[in-house]
Amino acid sequence: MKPQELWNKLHAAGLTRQEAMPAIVLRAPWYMEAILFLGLWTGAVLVVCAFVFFLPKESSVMLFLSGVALALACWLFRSCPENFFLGQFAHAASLCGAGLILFVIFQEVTGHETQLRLQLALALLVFCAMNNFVQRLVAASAALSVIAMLCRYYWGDARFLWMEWLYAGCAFAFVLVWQREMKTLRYRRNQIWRGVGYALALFLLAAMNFSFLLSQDSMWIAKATQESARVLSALRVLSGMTLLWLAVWLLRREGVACSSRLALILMSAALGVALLGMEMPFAAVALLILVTGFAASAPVLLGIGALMLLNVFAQYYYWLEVNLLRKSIYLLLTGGILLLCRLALLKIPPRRAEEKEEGEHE
Amino acid sequence: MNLHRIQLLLWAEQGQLDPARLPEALRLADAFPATDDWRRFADRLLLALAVLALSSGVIFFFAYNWERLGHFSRFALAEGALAVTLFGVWRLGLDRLSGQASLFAAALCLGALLALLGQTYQTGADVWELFAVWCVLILPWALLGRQALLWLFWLALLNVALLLYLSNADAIPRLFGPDFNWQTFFIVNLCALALWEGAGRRFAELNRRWALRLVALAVTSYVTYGAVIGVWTAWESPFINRNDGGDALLIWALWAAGFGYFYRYRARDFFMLTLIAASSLLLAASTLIRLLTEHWKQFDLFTASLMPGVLIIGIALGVGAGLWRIRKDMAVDAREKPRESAHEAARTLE
Repeated sequence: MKPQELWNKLHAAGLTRQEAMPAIVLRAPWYMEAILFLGLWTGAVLVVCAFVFFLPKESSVMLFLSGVALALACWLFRSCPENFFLGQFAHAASLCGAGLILFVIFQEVTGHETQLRLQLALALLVFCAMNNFVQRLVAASAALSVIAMLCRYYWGDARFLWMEWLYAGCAFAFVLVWQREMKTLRYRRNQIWRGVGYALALFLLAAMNFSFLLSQDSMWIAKATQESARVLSALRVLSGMTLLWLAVWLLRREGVACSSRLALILMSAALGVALLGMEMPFAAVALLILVTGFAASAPVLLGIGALMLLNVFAQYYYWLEVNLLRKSIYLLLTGGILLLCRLALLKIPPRRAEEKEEGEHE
Repeated sequence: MNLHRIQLLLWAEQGQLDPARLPEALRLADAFPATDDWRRFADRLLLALAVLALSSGVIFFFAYNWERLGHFSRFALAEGALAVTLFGVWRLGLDRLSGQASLFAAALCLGALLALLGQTYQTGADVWELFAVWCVLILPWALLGRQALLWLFWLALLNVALLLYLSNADAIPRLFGPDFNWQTFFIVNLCALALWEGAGRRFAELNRRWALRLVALAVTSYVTYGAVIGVWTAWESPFINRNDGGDALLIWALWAAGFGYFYRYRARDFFMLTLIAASSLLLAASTLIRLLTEHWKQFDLFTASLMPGVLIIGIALGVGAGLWRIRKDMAVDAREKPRESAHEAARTLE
C-alpha cells in the first residue's frame, strides 16, 4: 500500500485531521546508515588518534574538546532531526567526542572496575542525550558489552555461570523490550525501545559465537561438568520459559484462546524447541528473536533471528558437551514433534471472516 | 508493514492523526501481521525447523556411526537419502513449499553422495572437480525448481569450484588473497546477476530482491577489491614498483556507471546504489591513504595524521549527501510515475 492510499483509507475512516496528505518524511534505510556510519567511524578514529598521539596529552583539553563535540552532536540531533546531512556530521562529532573521553578514562583512571563503570556511564549518557536511533543502538550495544565485562570482573572464576545468567537475562529483557515497542504509540519512545531491542539482539548474536568459542576450551568443559550441570540446565530453562511466555503473549494478543487447538499446537511446538534448547544452547533464543521480528514487522530482526538459527545448527555439530549420538536423538525427536505440529496445524481450517469480526468486536 | 507503522507514529506526533485513535489506524494499515500472515508464517517456520532438525539429526547420526559402516552401507544411506528427497519432490510437487524444500534437500544430498564417491574411490581427481560436477548435476533441478535459494546455492558452488580451480595447487585457496583472480569472479557473478534480473522479470518466483542483492554484494566485493589493488598499483612510487592498476580502475568505473544507470533508471533499486556508494567510499579512502603515505613528509605529524580522518569524514558526508539526493529523487519518481508491479513499488525505497 502506497502512503497516499494509506492516507486516503485513514481519511475515509475519519481518522485524519485534513484531506491532503502531509509531506512524507523520507528516512534513510538501515543499510545506508550502516555504510555511512562505518565510514564516519573510521574517520573519527583517525581524528581521535591524531589528537591522542600528536597533541600534548592534557586531560582537561581532551575533556573540553570531547564535551564540545558531544554537545554539538546533541544539539544537531535535537534541532535538526530530519536533516540527513547534519545528522551524519553529528554522528562523526559524537564518535570523536566519545573516543576522546574513552582515551582520558584509560589514561587517568587506574582501577579496571572504575574504568568499566565510567565507560558504562558514558554509554548511558550518549543513549539519553542523543536523539538518534543509530546513536542509541551503538550506545546500548556498548553498554551491554561493558555490563558483560563487569559481570566477568565480579564473577570471573565461575565464568560459565555468569555468562549463562547474562544470556538468559538478556533474552528475557529482549522480549520485554519488544513487547513495550509493539505497545508504544509515541514515535520517540518507540525509537528508544527499538534501539535497545536491536542492541539486545546483536548482543545475543555476538554472545552466541563467544560462548561457542569458550565451549571449545577443555578447562571450561571440566568446570561445567564438575560444578553445576544442573545449574547450567536451570539457566537454560529460563530461555525456554521466556520462549513459552512470548508464545502465550502473542496468542493472547491475536485473540486466540489458550485452551484452543491452535494454541495447544503452537505451544507444543514452542515447548519442543524449549526442550531442545536445554541441550542445544541458544536454539530457544534464536527462535525467540525470529518470532519477535515477525510479530513486530521488523525484517532486520527477522534476518538476525534466521542467521542465528542457522548458526546454532551449524555450530552444534562442534559443541563438545554431548556426543553426536545424543545430539542426533534430540534433533530427530524435536524434528518429529515440529513436523507433527505442522500437520496438525494444516488440519485446522482458517478462521472465517465472521469469526474474525466477532473477535475484533469483543 | 513496518514502514506503515513508523509512518503512522510520525503522523500522530505531527498532530495529523488523533493519538487516541492510533490503534484503529494501525489496524486499518495492517501495521502488524494479520491472522492469515501468522498462519502462513507458522506453517513455514514449523516446516523449515522440522526439516533442519531432522536432516541435522540424520547427518549427526551417520557421522557418529560412520567409522563402523562398510562401503556399501555408506552408499546405501547416501543414495537412500537422495531417493527419499526426490520421492518427496515427485509426490509433493514443485508448486508446494514442501516440494521445494525437498528439492533443496535433494541438492544437498547429491553433494554428500559425490563427496562419498570421491572419498571411497580415490581417482586422483581434484577437489574443484567435485564442486564442478555437483554444479552441473543440479543445474537442471535449479532450472525446473525456479527457487531463489537453490540458485544462490548453485552460484555459491560455482564460485567455490572456480576458487579451487584457479588457486595455486600448493597453497590453500583464499578468497581475496594475494593471487586472487578477481576479474573472473567479477565477470561470472555479473553475468549471473544480469541473467537473474532478466529471468526475474519473466518468472515471479525468481524475483526475490534479497537474493539478487546478495549476488550484487558479491559482484561489488570483487570489483572493489580489484579497484583498491588498482589504486595501489596505478602508478609507480618509491614503495611500489608497479603501474598496471589502471585497467582495474577502468573496469570499476564502467561497472559503477552501468550499475548506477540500470538500478537508478531501469530496475530502481536503492540498495544497489548504496553498494556503489560504499565501493566509492572505500576507493576514495584507499586513494587518500596512498597519496598521504607518499607525501606525508610535506606536513607536520599532527596534520598528516589528522588529515586522513577529516578527509574520510568529508568523503563519507559527501557520499551520504549524494545518496540522499538520489533517494529523494527516487521517492518523487515513485509518487509520480506508474509502476509495473507492486514489487517495484516496494523495492524502490526499501
